[in-house]
Amino acid sequence: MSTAATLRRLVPLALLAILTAPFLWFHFDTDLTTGTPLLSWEPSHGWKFLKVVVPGFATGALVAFLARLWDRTPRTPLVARASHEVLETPWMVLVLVATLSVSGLFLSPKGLSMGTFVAIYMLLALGLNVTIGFTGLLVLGYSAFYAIGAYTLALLSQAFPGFPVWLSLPAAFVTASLAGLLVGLPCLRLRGDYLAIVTLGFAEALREILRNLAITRGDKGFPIASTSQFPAIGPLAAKQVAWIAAIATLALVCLAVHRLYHSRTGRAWIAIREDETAAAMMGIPVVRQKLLAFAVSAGVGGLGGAIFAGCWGFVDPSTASFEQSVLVLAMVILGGIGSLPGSLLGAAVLYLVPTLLRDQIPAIADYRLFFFGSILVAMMLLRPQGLLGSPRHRLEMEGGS
Amino acid sequence: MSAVLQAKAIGKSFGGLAAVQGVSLEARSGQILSVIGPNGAGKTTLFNCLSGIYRPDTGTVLLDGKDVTGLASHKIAQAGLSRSFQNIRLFPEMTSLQNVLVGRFSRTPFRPMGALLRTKAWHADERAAKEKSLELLELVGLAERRDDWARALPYGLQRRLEVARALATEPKVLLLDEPGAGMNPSEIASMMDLVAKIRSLGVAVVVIEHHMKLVMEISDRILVLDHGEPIAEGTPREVRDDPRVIEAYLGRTEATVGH
Ligand SMILES: Nc1ncnc2c1ncn2[C@@H]1O[C@H](COP(=O)(O)OP(=O)(O)OP(=O)(O)O)[C@@H](O)[C@H]1O
Ligand SMILES: [Mg+2]
Repeated sequence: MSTAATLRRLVPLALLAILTAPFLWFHFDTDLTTGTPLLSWEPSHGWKFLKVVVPGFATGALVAFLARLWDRTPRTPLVARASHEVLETPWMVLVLVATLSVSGLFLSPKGLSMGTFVAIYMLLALGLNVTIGFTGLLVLGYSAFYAIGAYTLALLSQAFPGFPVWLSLPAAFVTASLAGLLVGLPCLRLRGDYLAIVTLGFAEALREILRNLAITRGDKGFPIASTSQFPAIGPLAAKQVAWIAAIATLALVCLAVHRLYHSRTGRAWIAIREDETAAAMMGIPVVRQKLLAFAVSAGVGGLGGAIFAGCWGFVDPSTASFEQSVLVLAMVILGGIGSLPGSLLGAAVLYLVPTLLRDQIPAIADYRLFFFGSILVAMMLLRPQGLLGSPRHRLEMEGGS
Repeated sequence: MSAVLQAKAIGKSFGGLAAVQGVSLEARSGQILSVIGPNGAGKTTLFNCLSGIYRPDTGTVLLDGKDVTGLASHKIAQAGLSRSFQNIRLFPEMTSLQNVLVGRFSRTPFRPMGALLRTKAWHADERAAKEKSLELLELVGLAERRDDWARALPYGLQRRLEVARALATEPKVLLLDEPGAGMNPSEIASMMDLVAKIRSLGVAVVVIEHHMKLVMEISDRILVLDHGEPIAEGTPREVRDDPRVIEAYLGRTEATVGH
């Protein structure tokens, strides 16, 4: 469909919007004493209308868009194809971001903050997937980079009062990637899973440091000045801004990861995962590419941490906990190692299920680690490719040759 | 014409075992050099020393006049040497086309921003890499299987895919470690046709092969190893008539070759 044709289809929609605007957004009245007509801004009908129509319209568009996939390259699973197709079509991503942003505005404050946390965990799972899934490097202390991102925002807000969150986000990405490079440099030169152990130790050490340094305010944690959190903008409350920022960041990271994956760099990462020696023989500087993957992964973790800090307004050393690392690892494994939509699904399931259950059965909080551990083991045994699996991993299971 | 690959007095030991000792060779563009020798003679070890998988204990490797001794594999690959492996080492969870595309790595510019923004230049690079890869799949007879998973290909085709992937790095020197291993005679013959085709592209080919009749037919020169040491080097005719070769190699294994 050409751009012109798309625009032509939008004309009736625009007309409809203009014609209905007076009824949706304004209130007509007549001043009874003078008889002059009064027109006042009254958006409540409009909001209700948007609440129904925007998600409805977007769902319809998405279904129509994805319907085309049924008869294409039937060998990869539908979900993988669908997410691929969406990510190949930036306007579709934009539609999704807009829909999710708007829909979120109608959630209760509690629902909104849960939604924001889902987005944060999706970021983390996506980031961890770059090392574990694409490049085949096991990282056991991923929470270290999450904590570095969160504390970057906290420390910046302390050092420069009023430091805007919008600058803290990129700063967190940079500090976390640099930390990733520093940790990765010594152990990525060695073969084998040294990275797993070293990152695990790094996260534990970092947590101790955060607990004991005066500047990080120890165990009590670090409240963040509201001027350095996500601000309210116009009609949007701070929590709503945080939600939109999280969704937009998530979409950007999805796009970036997708595009890297389907480029020379991503092919190099997969080649390293599949056979390091053969990859080197193809001219790939293995150590450098592993470092790149690890830095990207760590940076995304930092980004997640900064969004958390900017929205929650409080950080403490538990951000670097082992439990946090295991949680994200479980999300990646549940969704399917190496699968981008899998990471998103895994994050949603593993964040939402315990959180919703906790309200019903408070004791569940005590069994969180047990719960994640069982999921990891069960997945390894029953469905090693994960819920969605990457098309590649999945095909291996189905090929069975 | 001078040799594009010159190895001098290469030596490599494992513990007390001298797997390769004092081996020199020269490979010239547009020629096939065969390396033969009984099992365990050190042929694969020699390839590993030439391709940077092992650092040789002694000797030097010159590639296009440049000293590449002991460099990492990826540097040697970038300098123009590529290889296949005796025990096939494809990227199993990638398609044939993707396998060959990986070989284009060092011949495609690094454009991280281009990849993220999908710029024109990035699209042009990707298209060029894909075209070149498809050409190579065509050359080895895998064009039809471009979207098949490497691990799902029949054995013989996997070996051909490894050759295409190695060629994608645009090597000046191509080392093939038993490209016909595990194949039936007609497959071996067609593999050797492919090797001859690659020679005609101006590549210096060094091939390890056990099938004596084909080696004699196809090689420009032959190097014979035994117990890690070179025992003969020359044209097929010279090597065939060399009494040391007959004694050390041909006589002993004649019963098992040409099966
Ligand atoms: N990594 C290693 N560690 C120890 N010994 C090794 C190693 N690689 C090879 N060898 C030994 O070196 C000798 C030469 O082995 P190599 O694989 O080079 O022989 P080859 O000529 O390729 O034999 P084949 O025809 O069976 O492939 C053998 O005795 C082998 O056991
Ligand atoms: Mg060998």
